[in-house]
Amino acid sequence: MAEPNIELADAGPVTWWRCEPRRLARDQQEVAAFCPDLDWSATGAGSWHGRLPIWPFARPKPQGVEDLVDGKGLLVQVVYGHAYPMVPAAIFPLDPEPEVVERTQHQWHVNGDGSLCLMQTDAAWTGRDSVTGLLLKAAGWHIEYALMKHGLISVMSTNGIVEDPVVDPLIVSSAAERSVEADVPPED
Amino acid sequence: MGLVKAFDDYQDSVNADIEQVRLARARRDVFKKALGAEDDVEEVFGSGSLARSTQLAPIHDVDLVVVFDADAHPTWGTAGDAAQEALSHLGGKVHVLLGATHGTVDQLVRLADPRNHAVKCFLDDPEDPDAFTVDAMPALRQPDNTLLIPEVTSRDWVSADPEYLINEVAKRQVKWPYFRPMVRVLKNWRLGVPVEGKIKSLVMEILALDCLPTAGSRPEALRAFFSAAAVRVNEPITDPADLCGEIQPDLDRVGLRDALNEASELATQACAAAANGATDDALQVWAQLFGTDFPAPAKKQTSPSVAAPALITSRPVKDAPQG
Repeated sequence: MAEPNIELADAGPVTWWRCEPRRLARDQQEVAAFCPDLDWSATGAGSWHGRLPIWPFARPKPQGVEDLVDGKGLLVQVVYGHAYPMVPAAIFPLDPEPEVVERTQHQWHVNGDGSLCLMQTDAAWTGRDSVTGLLLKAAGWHIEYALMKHGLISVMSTNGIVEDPVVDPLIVSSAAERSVEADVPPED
Repeated sequence: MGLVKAFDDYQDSVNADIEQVRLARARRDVFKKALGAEDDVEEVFGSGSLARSTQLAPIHDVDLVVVFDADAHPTWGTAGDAAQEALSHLGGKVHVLLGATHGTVDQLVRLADPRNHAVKCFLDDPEDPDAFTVDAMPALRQPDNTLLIPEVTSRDWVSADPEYLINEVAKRQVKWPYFRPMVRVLKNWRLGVPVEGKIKSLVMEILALDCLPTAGSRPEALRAFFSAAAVRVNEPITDPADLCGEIQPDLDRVGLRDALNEASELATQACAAAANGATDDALQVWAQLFGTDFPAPAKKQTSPSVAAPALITSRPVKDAPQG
């Protein structure tokens, strides 16, 4: 009778980072550089939790963007599956949290389970892409979500705003309008 | 060997020999000094790849712009004989100042041959296909700081702004110290591309201005360049100063696009191999892309991850269409 494999029996489930240790190291390095406020949890298939920067994009921050999002970055839970990195991590927005009615609607880019729909096609994620690319898109989603909630746009952009300054002038003009409104004395 | 060292060594093979560069610059400086001292000349400056530091070995020619005083030549800049007159005038000056027999400043030029825009000055035997030449172009400075240059074929003068490209390249070099070296690498790469006719080196410089990132590692920047340029090449490649129109109307766009797509796939494979720690595989793929001058270890059994066709995406994930 064969001896039981004690080593395997005690090792627990095979996590994705046991198969891809370099990928975990790369993710931890990149996420720490991108957003030190995210905390790693090794529970299950692993996750990150914390607030993203308000404006992590390369171009200058438009005036009024802090005001637009109440001075807070998007609170997220980044949830890995054991098929990572071949299948991307899912990003769940927690604050603000999209309403149930906003799920599965293209103009909100939210999946049925409440995670963000950051890619239309599976081929957009090669398995070699950085998880910070998803975090950037999520930070962009946060800005567009605020614009939607303020009624300033009726549909989110197709490709996001990581490199597209399409909504920047809108952020500036809406901030100017809000400041004018604040100067108007309340009615008696 | 690591990737950084391999790219450094390959760069050395692409770069023009420093002695060649020094000789070309010294010859150019003789022209500048001689012509710059003339009463009707306002300024003389280098305008070609040597001025932009994007020159490729071997250096066969140097481009110069000789800006004349418009008040000294009131008919220049107008249609008719003035274009030919300007080139003849400059050719005559070169003969007097730098002619091989009786040059008053130096005896360098065997033949000064006025062409369409410039005077081609042969410093070697004009019959030698590798003869070193200095192309001196007469010009007038316009109020908007661009130049007016003669065009013999149309018997007229046209606007040009060679300084714009010089400045744009310099700006990118400040942002990313590998910009000029990578432009040289890309200009060298084009020589092996199977196209109808040839690809002008300036085409590659304009593509680099549009598509070469100014940050990150050389392998990643090249990968990004090839992917973006394969799309960009579908549009006309024009003078970046918007004055001279299309750089090469007869460019074999389909051939170049196919080559850029293939290079994009190879660069993607190389970067993927490097990310997985398979440096030797990455070096072999770069050697496949750039040829035998790129240092790579002897070919061994290629790992399946490199042999497999690369999954290409049309855009980085951060800009992918959202659902």
